[in-house]
Amino acid sequence: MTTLRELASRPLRTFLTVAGIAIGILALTVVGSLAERLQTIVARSTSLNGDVVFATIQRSVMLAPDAKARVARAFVQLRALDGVRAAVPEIIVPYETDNAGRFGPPSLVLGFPAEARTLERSLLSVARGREPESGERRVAVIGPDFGAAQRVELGDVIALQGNSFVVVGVLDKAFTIFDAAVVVPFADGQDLLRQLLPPTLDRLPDDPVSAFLVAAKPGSDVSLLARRIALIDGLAARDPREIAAAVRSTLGIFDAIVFGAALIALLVGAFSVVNTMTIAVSERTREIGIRKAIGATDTDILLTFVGEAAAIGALGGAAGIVLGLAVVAGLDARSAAGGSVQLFAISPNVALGAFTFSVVLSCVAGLIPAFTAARLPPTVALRH
Amino acid sequence: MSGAALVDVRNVVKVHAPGTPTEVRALDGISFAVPAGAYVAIVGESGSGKTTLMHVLGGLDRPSSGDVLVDGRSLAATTRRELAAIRARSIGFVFQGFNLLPNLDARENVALAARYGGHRADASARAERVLDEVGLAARMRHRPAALSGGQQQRVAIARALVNEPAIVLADEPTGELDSRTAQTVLDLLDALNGRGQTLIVVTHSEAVWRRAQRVIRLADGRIVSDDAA
Repeated sequence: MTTLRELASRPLRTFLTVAGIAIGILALTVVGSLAERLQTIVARSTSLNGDVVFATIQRSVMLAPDAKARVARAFVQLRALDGVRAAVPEIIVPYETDNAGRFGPPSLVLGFPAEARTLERSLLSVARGREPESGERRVAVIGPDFGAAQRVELGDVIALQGNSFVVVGVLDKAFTIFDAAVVVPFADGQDLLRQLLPPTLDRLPDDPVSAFLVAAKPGSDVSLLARRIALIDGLAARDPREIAAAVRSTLGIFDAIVFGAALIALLVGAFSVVNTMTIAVSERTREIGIRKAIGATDTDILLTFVGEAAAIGALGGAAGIVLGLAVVAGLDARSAAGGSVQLFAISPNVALGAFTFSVVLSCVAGLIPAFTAARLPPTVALRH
Repeated sequence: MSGAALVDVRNVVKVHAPGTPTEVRALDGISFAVPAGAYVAIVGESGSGKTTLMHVLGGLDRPSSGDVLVDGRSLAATTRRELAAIRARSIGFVFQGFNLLPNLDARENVALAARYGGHRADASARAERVLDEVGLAARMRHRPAALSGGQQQRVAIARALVNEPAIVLADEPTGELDSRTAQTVLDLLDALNGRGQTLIVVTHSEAVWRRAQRVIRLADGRIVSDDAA
């Protein structure tokens, strides 16, 4: 209590110092929450897609006069490859063609044939409602973030490119791009793709496909499978492990940069603690002498000033976390409103880690002035 | 010197800024002993070494040579921590300018000394009891700025007494008080001495040293007289 009262006796200086720490912790909280969510997304995507290779159709093939035949041939070759458990065509179209002003990745509409269900099951599971039945048209299964953003519930009707679809199922939260996606029957996806392309592109095959989803047999070499797929005429494929490694590497660089920036902000705050405590020691030199005259040890004096630095760190840490939570909640609300995946995850680890770091850093920053105070000879301090 | 002396000052020399052009020999071979229960006044002109002697007696400063024994314990041979413990438990200070901490109320000021004296659990209770004894039961939650000079000095006396020290050292205890308030504070010191409390008072005020049983007069860092008052 007396520590807080001491800080309150110099309100402006305390406020500015606490604000310096709070800004650093705010940055650290936001960045930590972002890193936490991105790590979750990458981990989930990697574990779910570990045995799946996305084989995309080369654009030149898609627009070639014999596109239909070449794609069909590629599909036959694909299924015949050693190590392929299943291969299904897939349609990918954007939910909205205009993404201006949106925060986060765009929502997608994905079209899968009915036979893809066995493959999908490892990727997607329906939390509420059901999956589309074989041959069923104009039905949709939506991701939970899409439902929240568009205020769509099970049984509602949604419009995709002006076409009405009945929502028959809602997916489980997977922390992947599927959270903000709409899954429709393959034939409906093909219709949407046709509608989306400009009329001048009249060469689109009758049976368009965006990509093939290829599941590897258990125990087979997925990297080798990806290389074999890439050798098929008209197809391109990347090794999912290579993609995961590249994502992890990029994420590592991203983490280093953003955490570095947050730490610099926090270090500036720490310097303001050093400054504040140095001024406090200078102003309270006589008080140090009085305390020593009535029996305070060097340790008592050290703890008094380190305690005040710790209180500044605790106040700044708490304020920074509260502000950080508000910023994160605001940004997440904005991305949810736009139908995007939520990009932040506040975990107790992030909050506790940021708070502890703030207190420890402030204590360290307060140590030098506190040590100076502790070593002051009492007579020198009393003459001040 | 006396084997039963509570305070035994042995040939104390204190040189400020030794080896520099501003070197000052503040105390020059001071020796005297104070038995328990005594009321001693140390008097002298400004610059005579009174305050330096009080700092050395109270363990706030170390002599350049010689030694001070408090209750048989040498102050020269103690560590900083041990010296702090002696200041906390065996010596009570009363300063001219009261020297209360402005952000603490009367009870907290006194309780702080109790905590430094090792009475952490009952610091507040001890503070309340001793403040009651000096007549400030109704002013415990007042901060120094809300107290008169006399009340502040009584808080300072309560703070000096809270750990039941062997000696109370007072430096010009009435220096910042009007004569009427000064009488009240001196009456309080008399009463404490009457209960057996050893008092050493540094002063140049005749009104103060007249109340002591013994007066030690300093000049240029030396004792020039040591008489019963």
